[in-house]
Amino acid sequence: MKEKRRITSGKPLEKQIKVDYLARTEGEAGVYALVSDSEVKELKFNIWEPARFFEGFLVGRMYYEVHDLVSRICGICPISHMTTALRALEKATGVMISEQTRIVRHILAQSQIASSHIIHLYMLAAPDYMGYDSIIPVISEHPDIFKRYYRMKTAVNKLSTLIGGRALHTMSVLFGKFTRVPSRKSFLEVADDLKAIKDDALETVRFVSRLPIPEFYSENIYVSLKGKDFYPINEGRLASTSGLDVSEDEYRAHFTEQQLPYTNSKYSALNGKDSFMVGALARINQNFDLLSDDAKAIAAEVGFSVPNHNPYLNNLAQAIEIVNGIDDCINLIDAFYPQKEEPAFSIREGEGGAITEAPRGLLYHSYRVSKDGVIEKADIVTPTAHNASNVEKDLNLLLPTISHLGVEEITMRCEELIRAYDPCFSCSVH
Amino acid sequence: MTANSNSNQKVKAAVFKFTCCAGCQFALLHFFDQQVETLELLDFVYFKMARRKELDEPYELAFIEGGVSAPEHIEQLKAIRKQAKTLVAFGACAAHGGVPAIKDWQTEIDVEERAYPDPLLVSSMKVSPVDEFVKVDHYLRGCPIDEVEFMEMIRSIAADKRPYVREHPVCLECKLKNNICILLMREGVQESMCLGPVTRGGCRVVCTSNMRACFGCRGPMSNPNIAEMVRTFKGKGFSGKDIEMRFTEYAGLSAEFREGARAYYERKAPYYKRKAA
Repeated sequence: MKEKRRITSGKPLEKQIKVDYLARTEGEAGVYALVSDSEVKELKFNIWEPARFFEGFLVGRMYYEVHDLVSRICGICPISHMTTALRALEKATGVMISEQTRIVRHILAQSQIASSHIIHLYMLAAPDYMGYDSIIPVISEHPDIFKRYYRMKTAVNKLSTLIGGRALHTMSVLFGKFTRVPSRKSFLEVADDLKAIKDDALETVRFVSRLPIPEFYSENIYVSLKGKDFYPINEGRLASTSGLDVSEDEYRAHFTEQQLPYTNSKYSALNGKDSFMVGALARINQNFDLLSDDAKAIAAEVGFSVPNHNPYLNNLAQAIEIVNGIDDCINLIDAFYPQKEEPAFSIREGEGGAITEAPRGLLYHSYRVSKDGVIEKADIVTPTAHNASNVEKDLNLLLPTISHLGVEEITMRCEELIRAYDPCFSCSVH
Repeated sequence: MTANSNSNQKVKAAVFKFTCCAGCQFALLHFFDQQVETLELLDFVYFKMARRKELDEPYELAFIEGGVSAPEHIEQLKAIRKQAKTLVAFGACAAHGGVPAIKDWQTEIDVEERAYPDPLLVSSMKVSPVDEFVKVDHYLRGCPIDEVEFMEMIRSIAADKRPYVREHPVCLECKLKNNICILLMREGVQESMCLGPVTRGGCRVVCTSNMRACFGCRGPMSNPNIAEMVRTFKGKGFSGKDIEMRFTEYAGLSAEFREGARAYYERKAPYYKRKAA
């Protein structure tokens, strides 16, 4: 009643949404919005993560250490940065890797995507919908959920550790090769663990679909890699739902970056103007047919169909990707017979770029290498830099529809939306 | 629980992030489920990555993750030092500047201009380790931190004991584990340029056990023989550039590793000659 009176008196009610430091995301960012009646007066998605200038200091470093250094861009998806940098550098220097290395890198990347999704869903996103401020109360109040989370995470981390040496910042990956490739026996042991958590993965999809995720419609342009025969992770064509379908070398002809005064992250745009969404939802929207049969079946069971335009449901898309990732790993391991190889290569000067799918979406790395192997130019665009402008667009759409709610509730809904994107601010300001 | 007299009192802890990848915080999330008993000794009153809660309570234990790279960080850091009884430098970036500190070896404005069209919009300066500005009680080194060492430290702090400080090189742990020496047995820059003899141990030799040469993420051991390390590398045929790169990857700001990296510059143009020219 009070609100009505204030509006009729000619003084519109303004609501201020202010979050200085978004919780349960990776890195540091805040959001500020001023909503009056059902109009967004001001909106700032401020990523204040301190800049580290990776593109600057990589110049002058040697080609063989770059993948190690760039993996320190991100604490959650180091493997993606590593793989993308290696593919870009190998392209630039004209080094061919063996089929075995390619497969092992694919399994490694899948294990990291599954691990990142599991942690995002259970530790970062789900507490919002369950009414907790963190996962700590879940441990005692819902031990079944926590145990399911723990089993899944342990199994996928075991796979990352088997290949990479440890789950975080893996160290067995080298330029052009691995320090060692595990035996078939140890691979099969982990495959058994993965089979054991398959039901947990299916249950996770059901769990996420039951969470009170808000209804929200926002038609986005989705950009991701597009696979031909298999779900794209480390390679594929660059495609968008707006009709783009090019090879990864043409990335820079279509995507530009812009620096804004209020945020440390650069904002990415398609064809100079459009904002777009990358991530699990974008991948599934463009590659639904390539999912494993079980993943398709569970998607049908929970009523998820493509194209899907609710960004909150990026969470559900991630859960479906976990099922797909586990199936993918089991199949690849099943047909994988490791061989001992001692690859030898020489490098030439050149320039090359590569795109992969990180857990949070499209990741681009490009380097120019001199004939001595010194980096002369580095260019990195991360998933959250791709998404940043779309997050603002979605908030602009969302705020008018929920402006009648209380400030605390609006704040919560905005935070949930941002978290649904699974942002990584450390990546975005690299 | 512990032998401490106020043992049923949980230690109030806060986690702060500066310039880093947030991987060490993330490692903490990793430990949450595996080490529930130890982590129950702590009450995280401020831990943004895990908990939606503002800093509105006093805390005794502060974990500082990341190096200092902006003027405003210094003030925040000093305020944290005033409040915290114990301050822990958490990870390689806090302890030695870490990977972001590589830019300290180049001209600041050149580096910034390569990354941003307008560097003036970004608040940044040279990266420094935390102990450049405040007193650090304990160091958790490594990129990322080691789980066992971390748990050991938590238990020590909760029991009001001094945590075990490792002064020995990585080599010692490698020998105890019967690993084949990478530095002696393998060839090639990527495979054999091992900093183990001068790097502080405590990592449970996770890299060398996986046939990966130590890249020195834990910084120098106490009293390392850097000159001999450089001589060994040169004897194996590595170029000055390779040696410089290896010493400046993770702990290039430490005095000892700086000495190793400088060997390259001095060979190229001795200091006195540069001055004359």
